[in-house]
Amino acid sequence: MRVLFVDDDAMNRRVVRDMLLVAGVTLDEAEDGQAGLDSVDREEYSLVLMDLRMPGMDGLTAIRRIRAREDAKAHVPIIVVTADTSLHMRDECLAAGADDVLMKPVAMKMLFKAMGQVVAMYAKRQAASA
Amino acid sequence: MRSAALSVLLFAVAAGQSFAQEAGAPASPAQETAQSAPFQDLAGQAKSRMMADPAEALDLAQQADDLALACGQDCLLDHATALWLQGEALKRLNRSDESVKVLEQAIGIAREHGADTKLYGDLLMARAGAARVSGDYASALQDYQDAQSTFAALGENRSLSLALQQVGSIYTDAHNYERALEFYRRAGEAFAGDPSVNLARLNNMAHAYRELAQYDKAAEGFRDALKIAVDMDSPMLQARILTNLAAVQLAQGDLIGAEDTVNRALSLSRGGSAQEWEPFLYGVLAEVEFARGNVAEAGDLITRTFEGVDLDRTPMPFREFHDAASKIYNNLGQTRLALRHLKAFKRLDDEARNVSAAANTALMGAQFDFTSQELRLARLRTETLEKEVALNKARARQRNTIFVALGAIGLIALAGGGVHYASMRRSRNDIRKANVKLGETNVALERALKAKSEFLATTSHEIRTPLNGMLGMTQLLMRRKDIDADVRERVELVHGSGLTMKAIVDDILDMAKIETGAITLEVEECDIADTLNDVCGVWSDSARSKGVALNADIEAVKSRVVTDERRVRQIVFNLLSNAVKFTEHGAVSLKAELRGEGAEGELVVLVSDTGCGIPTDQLDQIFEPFHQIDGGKTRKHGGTGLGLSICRKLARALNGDVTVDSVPGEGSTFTLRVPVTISHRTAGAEADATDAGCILILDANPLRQNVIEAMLDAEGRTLIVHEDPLDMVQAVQRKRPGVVLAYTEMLGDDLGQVMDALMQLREAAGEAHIAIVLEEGSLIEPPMLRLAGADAVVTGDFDPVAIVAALGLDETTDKNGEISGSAASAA
Repeated sequence: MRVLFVDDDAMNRRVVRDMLLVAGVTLDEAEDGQAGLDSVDREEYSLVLMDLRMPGMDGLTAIRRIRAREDAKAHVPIIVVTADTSLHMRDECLAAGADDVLMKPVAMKMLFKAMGQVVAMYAKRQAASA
Repeated sequence: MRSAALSVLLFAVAAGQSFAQEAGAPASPAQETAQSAPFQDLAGQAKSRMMADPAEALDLAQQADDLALACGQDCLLDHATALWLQGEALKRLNRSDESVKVLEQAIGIAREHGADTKLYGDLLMARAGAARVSGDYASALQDYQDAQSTFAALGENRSLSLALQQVGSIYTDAHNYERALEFYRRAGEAFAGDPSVNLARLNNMAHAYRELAQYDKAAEGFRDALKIAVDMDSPMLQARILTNLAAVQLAQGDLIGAEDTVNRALSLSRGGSAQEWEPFLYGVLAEVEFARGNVAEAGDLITRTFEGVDLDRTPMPFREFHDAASKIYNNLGQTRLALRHLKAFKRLDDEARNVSAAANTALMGAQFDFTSQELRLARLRTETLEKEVALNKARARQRNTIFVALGAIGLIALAGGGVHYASMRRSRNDIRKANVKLGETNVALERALKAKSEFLATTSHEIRTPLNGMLGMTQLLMRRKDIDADVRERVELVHGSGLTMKAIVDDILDMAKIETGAITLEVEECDIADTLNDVCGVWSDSARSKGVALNADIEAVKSRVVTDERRVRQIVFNLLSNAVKFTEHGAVSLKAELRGEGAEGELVVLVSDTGCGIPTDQLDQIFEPFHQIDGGKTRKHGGTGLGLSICRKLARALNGDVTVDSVPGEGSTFTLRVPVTISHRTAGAEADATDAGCILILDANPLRQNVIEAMLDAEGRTLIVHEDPLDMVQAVQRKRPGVVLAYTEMLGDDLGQVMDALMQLREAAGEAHIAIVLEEGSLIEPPMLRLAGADAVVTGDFDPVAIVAALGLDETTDKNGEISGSAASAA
């Protein structure tokens, strides 16, 4: 399972990297929206974790760009991981094409739960369309 | 050098003066009811005797009350007036408990029968004064604000000005002098027609300027106040203001000026009218001499200040002079005396700081509401302005008519017309200017509102980001089994502190959301027993480390219910947090039950502690934002004081409530009640027989567990995850699942170990269906696993669909050779 984490904060990347290691998942990292976009173009990921507030291209723009380039089949699951708690943030993320939103500080349990749900959802969807 | 002391005295002047002034007035506009002449007479007398002889005033007020009571329903407001006068008199007789009781009663009557009368505002002011004396700044502020809007609506500008001044003085207590000045300025705008009110305001403003080290403005303010005091022919007030002025001059280094000013005050006091003020004047002189280096003179003077005074019981005005005395005596080598003064200074300083802290807490609560309050005020101003515009238009029309009518008469009329024309134009200009100003104010307010929410959002974001690193790392550390117990304990403490910090940030944001009505509920099916277990888990460690037991009884709620799980969690989290925080000995217990028959039920969670308890008269207040009982405890226990307020608001948003029962000294019980829909009741005790619907997952990988859980989520089965390979077999024996899913990495490292473990599982699992997931690249062959007892084997990369198929939950899945058709034996 390959996961990409896009976040400008090195500490946050380290935390998620170490957490995913518990589940035996290695993490690719990108420091801003543009770098994340490049990685998604280059590699095939099972899941993308995306921060919102980043210098350069922000997370919402990156998600919209990713979704704009995809066709219905190659659809990568995206979970937003943010410290932004503003009122309509969650709705905006979902509207942009994110599958779920997690709030920092993120509990490991919640991270795996959200990842599990999104992965299961995509697996079911794929099985149904196959 | 500070002198909060002097200003405190002058505040007293403001309040007292206002009452004296009131007494002169025949009857306040509030009393428009069936007031009889004898009643008016008695009430008037009570007022006029209030300052000089409160005991007599009390007697007169009681007589007036008898009249009002005899008159019955028509004279309810008279009754309230009489009660008010009794309350004021009782306050002056230092019977503050009785005073508060009487005032409460009067407020109750006035609220019901005359909430739009000046009397109601006056009563609120009186209660606020009492609350302030007892240190309850939150209530005082609330009352002042309510009084303010009552007076504003009635156009009672003099009273409005006094209310604004009181709020200003609370800001002064809180050492927020800029804001205090703002309120004093507004007070001046509202009304400037009463010398005594102006005097207090100018003096208090000057005091604020002094604290802000703007000495020129301070001196100017004191001089203006002094002029009024001279006009009023009040030596006592002059002496006080001169003392304040001298202190400013001292701060400016103008020793000669300060000395002159004090001597002027001394000559007043020697005239006999301000003798009780003399000690403070000697105190200021002592400071002047000390600044000059004349320590011996300074010593003599400061000794006169404290002549006949019990150093252990001095009131606040002496604070600064204790400080000076300790320095002077120290310089004179009288260390013992210096120390006594230092101690007295510290006692008063602590007291002042407590006052400041309490005032600050109250103001913080108010400030959350500050911008919206400003908006309301602006709206009020707009309305007044609109009225003025309409009035001016009407007047202008009238003048036009007069102008036209008189125009024909000739020269004199024309001259007059010219004046009218000029005044018309001026009033239009005024309105235009005022409109521009109002527009600017509104833009500024909108900006302020926006800035407030942006500030909250940014602060929250900036705190959460490092918290993510902190809590993430502590979580990872706590998973490790190879760390020492004492290291683990410390990591857990860091983690607990981080969680508390997160809760505080959440609370503040929630409060803001609740205030703007932006809170959203997410109601869905959940396992409330799990939630309660989780929350208890969070607090059990901190309880244990304090030596307090945390007992949970949640067997009775092992059901799936529909509610907002996150909010219930938040409420119980807060209640437990408080219970653990305020309990030093004994136990905290949580008891949960589901009440009601059928689908519509009520979740009841009781959180009890054996803590300090809550005084009966504060039971309601603890649900107010920013309230904590007993200001002294605040620093010991920390927190925002938002928790209970949020709990109640959230519970009410869920159509429930949080209530409290408490016995001071014995403990408290908080009860959360929330109506819920019960979707699936499960029996309390776990069945001994095989549970065909139960799936046991043997896997230590949290991500895979969650994926499988999510895959099976809709199927309504019980899922148990077991992570420890050492007692897998026991787990199977205990749970008696219908299906076992195991990963070979849990079973062992090589073929021998895996086969052994699998055979043991088979034996323990009885008839259960066993599915094994074989790692990609493993050398073990699927047929061997089947031989050892597996019913289905999945190989290759993690494929959730294939794994679920291998669980044999239905018979239709026989896609390839690896997934066994023998699945039918299960389920």
